[in-house]
Amino acid sequence: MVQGNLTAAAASQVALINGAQAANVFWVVSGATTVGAGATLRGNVLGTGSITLATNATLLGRALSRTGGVSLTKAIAGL
Amino acid sequence: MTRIRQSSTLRRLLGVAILGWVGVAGLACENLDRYGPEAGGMAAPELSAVAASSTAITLSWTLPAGAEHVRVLRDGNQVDFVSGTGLTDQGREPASTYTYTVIALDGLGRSSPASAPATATTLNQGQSDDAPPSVPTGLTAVAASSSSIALAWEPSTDDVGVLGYRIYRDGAEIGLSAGPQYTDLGLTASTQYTYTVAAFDGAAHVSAPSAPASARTLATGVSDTQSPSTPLDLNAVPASSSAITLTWSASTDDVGVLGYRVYRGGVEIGTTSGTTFDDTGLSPSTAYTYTVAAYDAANHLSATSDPATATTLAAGQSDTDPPTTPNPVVAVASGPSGITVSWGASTDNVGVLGYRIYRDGVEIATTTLLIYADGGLAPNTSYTYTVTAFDAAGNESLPSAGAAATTLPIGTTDTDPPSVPGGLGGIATSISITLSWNASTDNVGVSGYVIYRDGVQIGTSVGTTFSDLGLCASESFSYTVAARDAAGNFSAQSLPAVITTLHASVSLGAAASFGALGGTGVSVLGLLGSQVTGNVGSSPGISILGLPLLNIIGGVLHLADATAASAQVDLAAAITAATALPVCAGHDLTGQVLGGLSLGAGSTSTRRLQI
Repeated sequence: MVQGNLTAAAASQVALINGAQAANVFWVVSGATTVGAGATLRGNVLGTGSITLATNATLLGRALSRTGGVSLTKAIAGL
Repeated sequence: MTRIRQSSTLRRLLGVAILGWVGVAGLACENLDRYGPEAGGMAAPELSAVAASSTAITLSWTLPAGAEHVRVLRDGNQVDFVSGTGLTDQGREPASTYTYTVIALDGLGRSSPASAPATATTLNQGQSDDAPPSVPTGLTAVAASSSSIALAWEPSTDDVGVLGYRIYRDGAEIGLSAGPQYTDLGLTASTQYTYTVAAFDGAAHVSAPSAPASARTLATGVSDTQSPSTPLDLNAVPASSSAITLTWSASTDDVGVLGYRVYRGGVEIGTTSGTTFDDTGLSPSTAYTYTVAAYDAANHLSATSDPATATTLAAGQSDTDPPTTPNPVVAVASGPSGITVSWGASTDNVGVLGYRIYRDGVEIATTTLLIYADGGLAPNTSYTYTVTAFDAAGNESLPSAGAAATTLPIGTTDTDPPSVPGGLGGIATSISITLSWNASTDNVGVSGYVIYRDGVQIGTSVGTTFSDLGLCASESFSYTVAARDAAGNFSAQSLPAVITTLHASVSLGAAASFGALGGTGVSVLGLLGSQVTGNVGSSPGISILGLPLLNIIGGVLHLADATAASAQVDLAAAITAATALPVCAGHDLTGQVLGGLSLGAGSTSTRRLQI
């Protein structure tokens, strides 16, 4: 649960260890979500606000927004 | 010495003369010091003011020690200079508000500090105060020393206003009090005194006297040195959108508890001689936190209780639903004169305030606990108990089924513990474990069970089930259970049952088929190179940009169609369900730097981040 905005900095990585699967990770974000340029975020984003995947960003999980838009710039989303 | 005395007498005569002149002329009197310096030791009088009629207001005050006269000020102007403890201010306008203060003067003409202002509004034209105040209740008398006894009681109410209280010792009036407390001084050591109090209003109506309360002064040379015990079991329940009712368990003291101070947010808001308090005039839908401390007649204050928090109802909302009926109810003899009654907790849409216990149909007690020890019973006699639950709005549940028990024969004690509970098992969800076990047996009767998690007592149960709530997902807990009887005998703890909560899971429903789902639209920027696995869609908005450039793998577009709409409904439910998952102890990451952080391997519970 994230109360506020979730931002993964450019070129950052969220890694899953010990056999955890991205399908079972949920980022519940009350604000906007941004995956910075070249960064990799793992897990499903359940956002209230917008979801932005910047240039060459990778979201290994679903990008699901209730009231915002989903924006991809040469980016990859999905499981 | 003689000269000083003459000088003082002269000052006093001069002071009275000037005061008399000002009083007749009714002039403003702003400079209080011009009649003499404040007397060092004199306390401020306590003043109360209440309408007597549409044209008069009655004042009553306490005279501090050493005071001989009182100057009375109405709206800042002196209107009278009197001896005594009250007056009626005649010739006022109907339905008008006046503010009074009084200043006491000693025999040397020195002033006390001014009283706190007292405000009263005359009645409307043609209106009159015909009813006396309610009879004071809850009178408590406690020895303060070998020569004084302190009294406290619950305030009376009146259709116009309570002006004060008359205090009676052994039937004779001994004094007045503006508020619901009084200290009787100059008593004889080791002597029993009996008190009553009566309330009076501005129209000179006096209530019937309260029920009497007695106290015995301490022996000569003995003083009260101990503070009362800390009040326990503080419970706060909303009664309406503007009121919260508090209850707690009584404190004990080596001499006697005189009353309790009630604090809201750490600030004292009132005192009571009982173990309940109604806090009124609150804002709707607002959370308030309370604590309570007990005090004795020697002004020793206990430690403050654990806090209790309640949220007032929403504006316009009222509570008309009674709590559920307490179930089960068990009564077990604890000896030849005692029976212990215990019961399962009731629930209420707002909150359970407490329970009423009835013996053979007659109410004998109320409590906030789930157990009541009845005493003073006849040996070898059967009694039947029922219990009801009530909330702060006064709704009472239906009575429970009757529970009967027979006191032990005279001279008998029960020293045999119940049998050890067997068959302990549980059913887990991701946030709770519900335990059940086989009933124990006892030579007199099992009064309940004590439940332990990882060796620590976490609760009690009257029946043979217990729900442990608010747990972390995917964690193992070791439980044991012990049985007890009413005489305080405990069985050994049962064999442990180790139970693991389920993994926390969030179901995405129809949203699971989507790789990207928006509420206002989907944008693809930077020409070619973006890719989504799964369906791509948006609902209800369809602001789209560059979608033909998107590489969709294993899915299709759903723009504001039924599939996208139902995915949004399921997404909302998933967010609600995920948000409701408990954040377990140590898993709140608020304020932590997340870069480089490794979350507990193998655990699937919820973390809360505040960014």
